[in-house]
Amino acid sequence: MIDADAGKSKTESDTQLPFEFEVSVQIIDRPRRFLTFESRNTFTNALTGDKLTRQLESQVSNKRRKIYHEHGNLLNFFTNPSEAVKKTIKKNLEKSKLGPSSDKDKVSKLADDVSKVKISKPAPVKKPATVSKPKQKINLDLELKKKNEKPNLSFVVIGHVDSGKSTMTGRLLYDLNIVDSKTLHKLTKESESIGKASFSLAWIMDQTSEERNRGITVDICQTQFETKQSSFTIIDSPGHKDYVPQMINGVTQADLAIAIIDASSFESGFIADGQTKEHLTIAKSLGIEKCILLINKMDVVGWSKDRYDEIKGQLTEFLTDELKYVKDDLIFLPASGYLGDNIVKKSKNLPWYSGSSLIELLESENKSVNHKIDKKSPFVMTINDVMESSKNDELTVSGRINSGLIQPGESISISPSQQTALIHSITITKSNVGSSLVKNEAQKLAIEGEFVELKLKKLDNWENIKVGDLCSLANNPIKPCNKFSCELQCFELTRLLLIGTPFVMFRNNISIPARLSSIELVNGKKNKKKHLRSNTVSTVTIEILERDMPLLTFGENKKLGRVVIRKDGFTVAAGKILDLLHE
Amino acid sequence: MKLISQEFEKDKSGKITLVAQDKDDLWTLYNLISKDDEITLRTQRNIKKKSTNSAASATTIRKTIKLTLNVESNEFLPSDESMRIKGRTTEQNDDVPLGSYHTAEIQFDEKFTLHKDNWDEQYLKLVSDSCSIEAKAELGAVVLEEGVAHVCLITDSMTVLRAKVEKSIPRKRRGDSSGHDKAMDKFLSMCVDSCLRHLNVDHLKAILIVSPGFTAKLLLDKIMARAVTDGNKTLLQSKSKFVIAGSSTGYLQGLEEALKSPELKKQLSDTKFQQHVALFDEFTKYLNDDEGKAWYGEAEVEKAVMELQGAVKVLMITDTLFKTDDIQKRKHFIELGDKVKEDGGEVVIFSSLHDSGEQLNQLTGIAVILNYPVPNLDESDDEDD
Repeated sequence: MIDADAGKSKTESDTQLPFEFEVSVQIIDRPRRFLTFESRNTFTNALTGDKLTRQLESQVSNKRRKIYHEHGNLLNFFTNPSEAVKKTIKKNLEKSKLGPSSDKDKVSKLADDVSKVKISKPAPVKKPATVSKPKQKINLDLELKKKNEKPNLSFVVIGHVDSGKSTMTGRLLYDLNIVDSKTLHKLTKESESIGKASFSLAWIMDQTSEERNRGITVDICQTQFETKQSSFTIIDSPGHKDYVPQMINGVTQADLAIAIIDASSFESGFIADGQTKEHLTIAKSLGIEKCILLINKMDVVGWSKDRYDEIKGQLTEFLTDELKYVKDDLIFLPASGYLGDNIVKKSKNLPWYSGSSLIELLESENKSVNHKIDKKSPFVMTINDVMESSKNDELTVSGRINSGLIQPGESISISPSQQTALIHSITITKSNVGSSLVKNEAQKLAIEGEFVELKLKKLDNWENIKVGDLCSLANNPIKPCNKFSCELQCFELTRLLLIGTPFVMFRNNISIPARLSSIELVNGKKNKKKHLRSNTVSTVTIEILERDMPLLTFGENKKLGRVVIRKDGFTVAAGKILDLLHE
Repeated sequence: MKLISQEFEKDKSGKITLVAQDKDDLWTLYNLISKDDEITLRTQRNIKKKSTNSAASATTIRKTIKLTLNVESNEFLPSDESMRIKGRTTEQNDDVPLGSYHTAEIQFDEKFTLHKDNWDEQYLKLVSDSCSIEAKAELGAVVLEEGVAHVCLITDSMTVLRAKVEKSIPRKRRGDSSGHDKAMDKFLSMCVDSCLRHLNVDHLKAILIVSPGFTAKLLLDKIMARAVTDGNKTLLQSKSKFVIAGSSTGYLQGLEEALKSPELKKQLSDTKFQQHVALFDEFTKYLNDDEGKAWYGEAEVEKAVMELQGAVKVLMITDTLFKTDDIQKRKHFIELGDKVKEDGGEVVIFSSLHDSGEQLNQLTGIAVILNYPVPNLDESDDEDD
């Protein structure tokens, strides 16, 4: 009976688009179908309770989705029945023995209820993202102007192990009076007690017992401070070969690199697998165009100009020839981090050097950098740290804003877990020059380049949020994927890069195992081989193993669109993400 | 594996009765059993008992019966450590009609008989290798870095990831690193728990702890401290079994990296797994040197084996290539192997359940290292372009 009707009405509704689905669902219109998946008993029982009605409603919509997937076109009939069909079916229903007759009223009531259920599209199961307005209305231009009065410059301190990175950083903070003499005195006493007196300055940055006992930095340490004119973020990074991943994390958050070169043992960092070379290569590959080369430990080499010139010559050659740095973007500076010469105070021991001290250089660099903010660029932030939280739906995360701007009260989406959260507050932790106090300032607005802490509320589950996740506005979520095409520059290799061989891929502050899944072009030519040789430029497809990752192309974001590849402890290649290959 | 009996006819057909003993054997069987073999084994099956009178309820009982199956397919799940065979019965039975489908799982310590129409050398080698009485080396390994650890078990033919420990560790901050230290301590405790749960120290030949920096040392200290507090004597006595090694990463690939290091090479040189890693590394090294001593790809390898007598030093091939329904192809690979051996070369079969085998698989699954450089082995291929 019904089948005959179906055939008829199908021709009538053929003109409809298959996706026109936003119509009322009328359960009464198709009792047979229902009774096939719901036993008659439960069906009639359902009619006797309101609670159950709701249950049924959801079952209806679930089943509905399924049916839609399986029988796409057929459903047009059921969704938009013509008046004639409706009538026939109603008649049929009255004839049918569905339920006791006293329940008939309920049946029709249920039909009305169910008819209110609207199904827009079969796909989205997830609740739609709620976009909330900022808490406070602010004058955007005014706030931006205020921010730009003291622009923030982020710099990372890199270099070979034991070249004095942490000591130089400690010296800078101490001479700017951000670390008071009481703290340093305490550190000096502690370091003397285990026979490492010369480490006292480094211990300002090296906090953990592991770092202090071994005398090396393990993880990056970031500090923000303000001088009269500008604001800085300093990131101290580890130099040891095993901790290059952490150093890469530091570089991705910086605008400028300070490479510390040990004047007394320059060569050990400059041989084939020394970290002076590796660090500089990584910095360039991750888009750091400007570099201060601080020739450290000048006191050890007797403040010798000859030594300084020799190192400068070798470095310039390497940086301009091999890494293609522009000569004007390289600034050389002789200094002593341990004694403080040319860090904040000008050195009296280096009469042959007429340039500026480090802090003066940083001030002028900060001014010369273009801090203009594009108000329209989309908000993206990488989570760099997650503070454990006691409440399940609250969390404080910190990170650097990669692009755009954000205000408290706005809601964000966090990828790859695809959770949404409300920003309760935004703070920036800073120290001022001349004071050892650490301030925690609440912000009305945070912009690209700033290091912020976001207090999040209304999360589903904070435990799914990990370092390396990307935040974006809730109405602009970033879809994670696990395959992308990439322009890859191979460096000097000791083993070929083979298809299928796993390596570790670094993107911003996250590292993840990945492998080449195909090689399309090598040096611009079509490729048939399954391997890449040293110093080639190729277009490849990279597959991320283990999980999906939120990715942006190089076109979308100059920093997040870059990757570095390491294998067996060597940096083997760097690349730009060209295209995401969603499955 | 235990060999109970074997019987072969002149035409190479015949049957073998075997008993599987460990999960390595299951992998061997996976590679041994192919389509259209016949297997006789005891298995469980749900059997409907028709009661004589009422047609209403037919009771189902689970019964252990002996069946002979004509194999259609088999699958192996390393994580479950199980091997299933799907096929149709070839003998009539009181309970099971002829030609009904059945899926059987190979049980440990249960004998079964396998009949093949053609027992080629490769099959026989599989059997004899897995039945050799040489003690099988099983290693435990923990690969970790701050915040992530992988606990795995390594046997001759497979690497099994038993557990992955993950914990996000807050960064240190200037002036306060207590959050970092606390989380790190918790993370290491989790790793110790996981190791003790998943690795049976008593049975393992050695346990590798691999990490960048000092994390491996910290974990070992923690394990030993735990042994003391728990009074775990066996663990304390096995201290010498733990080996610490360095790598650049805490992901699984760090394991292979560590195995290439000279110290471990020496210590583990008698394990098959280590030999394969070293061999594959040697291959990639030659490939990088680009002297024409290393080649991969079916066409290239065939050329090297068939046309250049005695040139092949090592033929590397994965078990995946043998696991094919195409008998001609399988035969061809066996011939290649025979030829290499005849000419004084070595044939090494990689297990695709190890990382090295998986990598070789991605490179077409077959490769050679030559005794002397032969450039342009692929020349004819280039002309095709």
